[in-house]
Amino acid sequence: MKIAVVGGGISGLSIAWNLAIRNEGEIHLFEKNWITYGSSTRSGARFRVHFWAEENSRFALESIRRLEKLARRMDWNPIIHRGGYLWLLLHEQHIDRFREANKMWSKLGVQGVFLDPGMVKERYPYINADDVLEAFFGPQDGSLHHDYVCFGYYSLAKKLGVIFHELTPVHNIIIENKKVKQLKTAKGLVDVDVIVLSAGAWTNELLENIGIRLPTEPVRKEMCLTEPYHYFIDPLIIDTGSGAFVGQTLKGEILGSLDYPTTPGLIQLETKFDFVVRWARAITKRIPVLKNARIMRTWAGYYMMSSDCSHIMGRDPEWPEGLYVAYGYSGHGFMMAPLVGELLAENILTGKIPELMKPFLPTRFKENKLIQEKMVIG
Amino acid sequence: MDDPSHHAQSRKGDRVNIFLDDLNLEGYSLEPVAVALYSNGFKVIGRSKKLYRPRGFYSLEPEDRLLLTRIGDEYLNPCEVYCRDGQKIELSLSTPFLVKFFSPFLNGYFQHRRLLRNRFLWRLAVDKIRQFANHPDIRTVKTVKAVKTIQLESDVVIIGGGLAGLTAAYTVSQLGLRTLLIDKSLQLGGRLRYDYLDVPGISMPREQLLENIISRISLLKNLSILTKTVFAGFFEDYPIAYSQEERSLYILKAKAYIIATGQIDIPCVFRNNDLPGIFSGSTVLEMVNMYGVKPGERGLVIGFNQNSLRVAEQLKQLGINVALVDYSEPEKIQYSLSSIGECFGNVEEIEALGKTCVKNVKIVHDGRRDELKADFIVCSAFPSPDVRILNQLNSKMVFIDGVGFVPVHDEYMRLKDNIFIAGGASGTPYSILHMKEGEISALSAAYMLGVKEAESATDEKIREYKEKLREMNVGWKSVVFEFSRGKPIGDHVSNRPPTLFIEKPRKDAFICFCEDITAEDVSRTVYEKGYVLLELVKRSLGVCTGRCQGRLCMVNTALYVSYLSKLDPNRVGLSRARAPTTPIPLYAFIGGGDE
Ligand SMILES: Cc1cc2nc3c(=O)[nH]c(=O)nc-3n(C[C@H](O)[C@H](O)[C@H](O)COP(=O)(O)OP(=O)(O)OC[C@H]3O[C@@H](n4cnc5c(N)ncnc54)[C@H](O)[C@@H]3O)c2cc1C
Repeated sequence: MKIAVVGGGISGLSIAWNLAIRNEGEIHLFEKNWITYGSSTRSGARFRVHFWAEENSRFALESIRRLEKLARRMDWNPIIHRGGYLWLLLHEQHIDRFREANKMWSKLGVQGVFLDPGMVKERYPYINADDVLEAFFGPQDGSLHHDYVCFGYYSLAKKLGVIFHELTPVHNIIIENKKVKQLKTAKGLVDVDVIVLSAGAWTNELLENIGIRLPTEPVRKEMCLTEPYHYFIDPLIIDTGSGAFVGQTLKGEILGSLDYPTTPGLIQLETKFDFVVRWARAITKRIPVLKNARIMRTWAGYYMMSSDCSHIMGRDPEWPEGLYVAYGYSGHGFMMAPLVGELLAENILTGKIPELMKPFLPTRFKENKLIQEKMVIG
Repeated sequence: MDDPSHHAQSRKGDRVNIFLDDLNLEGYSLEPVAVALYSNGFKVIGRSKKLYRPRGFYSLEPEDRLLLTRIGDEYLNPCEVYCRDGQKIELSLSTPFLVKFFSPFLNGYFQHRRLLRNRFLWRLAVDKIRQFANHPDIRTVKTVKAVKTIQLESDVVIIGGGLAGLTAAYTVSQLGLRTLLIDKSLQLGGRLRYDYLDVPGISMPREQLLENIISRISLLKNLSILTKTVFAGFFEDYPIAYSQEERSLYILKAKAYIIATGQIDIPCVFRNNDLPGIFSGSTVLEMVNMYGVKPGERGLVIGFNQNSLRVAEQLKQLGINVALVDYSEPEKIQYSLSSIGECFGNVEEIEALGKTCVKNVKIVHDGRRDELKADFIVCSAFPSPDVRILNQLNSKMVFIDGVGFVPVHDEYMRLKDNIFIAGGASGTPYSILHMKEGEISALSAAYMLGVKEAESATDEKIREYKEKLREMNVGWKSVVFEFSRGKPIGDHVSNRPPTLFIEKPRKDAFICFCEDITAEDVSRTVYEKGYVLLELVKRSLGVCTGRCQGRLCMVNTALYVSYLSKLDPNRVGLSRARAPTTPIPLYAFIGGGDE
């Protein structure tokens, strides 16, 4: 069997490696630029297990466990650190929702801690908590090094014989007798039995060429990074009032973004001055000492949003045989990808649909079995 | 401490007292704090973030390799802050014992080591990294200065006030367009201001040339000038500029932009090349000619080229002995080298000796080893445009053998859309060509903005320009014009980079100063991991991600990777730079957006 994975982000890398360890067939990965060109190295590099939807929480929980285990075998240290997420809640409704969700999280064994404003001030003296009614702290959440995780998968996959075609865009998929037959790539036609599309924000282009439409669209998201400073912000702090978030990297840089409206679509990956101004205002109001931090760089990537803000994996039986997708991560894909790779590989090679994967099938849109996820950060 | 009395020329500005901890030092109001400290014998003004290596300044730029220093009640770059009376400076130069102990293990690869894969050891390591990384503690800065946000509208903005920028500013303004000229220095003139030798090909003495241009432009009513202001890159909505001194953030709204930011001297890669007392060629000239501060008694100048010879000659005139070194053969250059000082060709390796600053230099050449006395080193082997602004614009860059990475533009000096380029920023050598490019870019911009009379003048100027290019043997420029019309960039060989002075990948030869990344680290990435695209080398090592954002390391890394991997530098490529191209405090952004 010859399997082609399209896209060399965390999703494609994880799928390729998971296929390779099962030791069946020949695995090719096509990447139009270089490995990690897409959103995977433009992310905030954080993970969490706290989602509104139980399906997502479960999935993330297992996914991070997989990554932690695998980390010991990688030749790059993925620098996993559980610094926690701190949500600052300014409205009663938010508090109610978190309390509600915390029951579900407790069931999964990942309950968080509610902090009153006094405790927030005590634990995080640098936060201006004047308008904060309550805060929710999720100690199981944290950060990782997105470059090293990708490189780790890349080395592992290469060692197992995955054939990487870098600087090789895939232009089209050729179908014959309701079966995938070939990939049209920049380096010519390639015969294949199975195609996995994990091309992130660019996946729709390929799907639409063969007449498949899923309710997803790319949305540009920008990020700010300051010069490095002595470490003091441990958790990722989310200001639910302004939609801004901020954290500090291992290197000491202060990193953050906010919910900033842009036109959906594959617009240029540039950043706006106005965006920086808004983030600066929101975040310095929350953490006044950051006023003196100096912005060093900004960048942009795409969130590939699905209509229910949850990822899409697997196939629709009505599609041509041999076609699978793994995309639509809606801004929290990095943390999901380790498990997506594992479950999808199993699905492709055995035909069985693992329990954890079931809610995320592409058929959920036409069957109207949407996942109730609203908790998207940034 | 060195003798503080060695002032080559007179110091500039009013005499002020600055305080280093409790020590009262002499400073001058028109010189940067870093220069004042150096002239007082304080060569070490910081320590690197990871290895705590002693640091002095390399260039007097806002994005220099120095870490932020406590000046007054803020953390600022001592290169971009001028001395004020009563100013307090605190240096923290001690190295924690633990760092001294562990630093041999902390190469750019420490993140990937097996030893640290153990979860508990790694946790411990993370805590220590956080505790000991040499970063300023921002929580100790209590005061916040107000910064004005100012919107500036004009027809044309010219970035850089050197010969090319001044010529462009004059030409544009003469055509009646509203023009804004921005320069990061206190005064206009760029290299003309501190390089005291006459300009080849121009009969007028340098001083008169500068005076003429300045007085001509000062008469123009439709030209505004902003000095001490750093252009900070093109955001999608607006380009911006920032002045730390004036506490102003400028939002630029112009119909056309001309980039005339000149060239920088790429640092040379040799052993201990991060020691204090190692400068770029233009910085040494700035020190002696603008600030009247001698870099030392006897120096080593690296490079056999137009620029390095001008540096050597001016140092010599001030009674400073120099030795010139390069890896090419001395016969190749037509200049009486012996009149300047000792010179060594075929140099394979250079090693700076000294614990906290340069004391001696070892060189390996023609199969021999020599030790020279030198208390400072000048890197002037490879001038290059600052690739960041160009990369940030996503304009196409191409590597040309014997020239370096240069931006692709047409003969109208258009880079893309409404952005033009002129002078050293486009990689062009020779001042006379810079002036021509200044004129052409200005005329092209004016024509684009509807000034009819600019059209015929442009063609005329381009003819003259092309003639001069031929006359001066700058053939590669016409190749660049062809690239701009879509000619494919052919194959290039990977040569030895002109900045490379090590025989093998050394662990004490630094490529990236911000992140303490050495030639050895880069070579391991290439050989062990197989990463040869600069974008990947950047992601794996962190080169180009420090506070200089690749200004000092990007070209060197690309060329070194190409040299090691034998891959065409155009395939290795450069990495994308991002706005802002100079660090700007958040308080400057809060002042105002576009509302
Ligand atoms: C600003 C920002 C912050 C984020 N923060 C987080 C976070 O904190 N935590 C988290 O978990 N997630 C975060 N994310 C989301 C996360 O980055 C993505 O969900 C994840 O990286 C998606 O990985 P991917 O492999 O699907 O896509 P990508 O990484 O985008 O990879 C797709 C790859 O496919 C290639 N490709 C595209 N078209 C073709 C073609 N035709 N042929 C061949 N190759 C092709 C592209 O070049 C690209 O390399 C963030 C995203 C952004 C933009």
